[in-house]
Amino acid sequence: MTTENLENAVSEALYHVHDPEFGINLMDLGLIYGITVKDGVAHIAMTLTSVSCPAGQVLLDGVQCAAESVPGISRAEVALVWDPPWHPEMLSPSARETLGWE
Amino acid sequence: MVALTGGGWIPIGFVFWGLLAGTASSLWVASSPDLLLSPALLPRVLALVHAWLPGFLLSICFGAVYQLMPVVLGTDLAVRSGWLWGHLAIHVIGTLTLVAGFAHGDYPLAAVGGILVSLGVMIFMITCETTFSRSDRRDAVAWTFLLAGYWLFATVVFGTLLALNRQWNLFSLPATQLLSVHAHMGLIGFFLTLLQGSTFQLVPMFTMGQLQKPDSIRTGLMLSQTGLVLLIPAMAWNWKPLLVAGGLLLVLAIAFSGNAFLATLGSRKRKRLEPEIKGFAWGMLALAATAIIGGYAVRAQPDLANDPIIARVYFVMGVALALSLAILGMLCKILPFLVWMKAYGGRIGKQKVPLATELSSRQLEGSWMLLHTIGIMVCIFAIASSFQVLATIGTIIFAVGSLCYFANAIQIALHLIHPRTP
Repeated sequence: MTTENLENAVSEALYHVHDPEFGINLMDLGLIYGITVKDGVAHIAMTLTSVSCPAGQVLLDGVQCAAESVPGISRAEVALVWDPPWHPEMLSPSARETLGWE
Repeated sequence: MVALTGGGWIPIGFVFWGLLAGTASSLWVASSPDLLLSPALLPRVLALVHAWLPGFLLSICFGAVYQLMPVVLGTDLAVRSGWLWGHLAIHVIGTLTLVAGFAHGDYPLAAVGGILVSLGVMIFMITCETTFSRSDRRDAVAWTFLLAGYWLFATVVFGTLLALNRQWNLFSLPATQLLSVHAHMGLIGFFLTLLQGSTFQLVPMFTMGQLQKPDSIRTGLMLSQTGLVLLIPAMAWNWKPLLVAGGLLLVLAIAFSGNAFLATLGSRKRKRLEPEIKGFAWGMLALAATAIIGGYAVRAQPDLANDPIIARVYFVMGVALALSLAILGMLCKILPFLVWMKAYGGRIGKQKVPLATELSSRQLEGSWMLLHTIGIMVCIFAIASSFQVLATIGTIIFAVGSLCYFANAIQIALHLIHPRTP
């Protein structure tokens, strides 16, 4: 599988990791800032809706598990980043519709 | 440093002890509705009030704070979990002893219960203080945890002295005035202070909103603290001008905090208001109404505690309607989340798991809110008219509402034993 295909597969897997409160997957929430794959290792940069998100650790672990479940990915490294800070504008149109926003 | 604190058994333990105490209290008052119309100093009334406040609402708040404080302050709790388990154990024994002591008119036994509860509160206060010291956050929301911890400690120590006062006459002031001081230290110092902070963490979290008007939050907090400092001597010595000044500051405090609450709620991205948030908002509205009743009572009769009807209406509205709706409404969001973290948090990303919001029953939550509100409103009319039949009806409706709430909590907790499989 090519690197691009692997990155797409990881991205697809993250569509199945949902925020437990809002029921929206992390991709549509705009929490995933970047996915790169190198030598079978997935590097994922993600953020949280706030620094005090109580589900933060389980979301990070969930992202790692989901990425490592992708065939061809031997390991996933998830980095929590705060720059740029998450903003509601980062929600996808589908997430906005779910929330009743706009 | 950012704390990413998971749900724990200690908060769940406190919450369930609180729910047991609350459900038992509601069944008790439904079986003895005369308590609603009885004098505040009657031992069984004191027992019921203590089953409701330290037993029910305080236990739930302990659980919520132990879960929420590390999240808000961005650091782990600064005490070992063994101390918190110890707190849970002595709190359970202490509240049982306290209620049993009052119920049997055995004030030394009530004082023993009070001392045990106070020891637990001391652990809580030290936890709040050391965790606050370790944190860098110094806004009004962070300060509320520390202030609430101090006020609570002062409340329980003063309460224990009051129980001993029955035996040894430590204070020469009238018991009803001292009781007012004790009640307001706890209700305003602990519960209102906590709501003035936790609201601005929880509401944005559950509605995808953003904290708004931090100046209003800070001003509201400063006004409530100053108001309470004035009210304590005013109530103890029955000084009307100070009572008016303290009451006015409290009304302003609620107005400032309410203004920030509405702005924060208005910033939400989840547009549909869930029943839990509605319950919380109703509770806040009832709190404002309670403050107005308190203001009216001060104007009409300075010694609130000596005017049994207005004092009972004020107390039932403030505690059973305002605080209970606000705390239980928010617990409808917190409890499924706590249970979800324990039952499903480790499975996310590995398998399909239910959402935290799917653990509870919307029907039971809705029934609770409706029956609780109607029941307490009927009880308030019963008190105002001194009508026993109405008190019976109101307390039964209210108790059925409590059973709905408890059934919903059990349904949520069952996920800990039998998690849903994909």
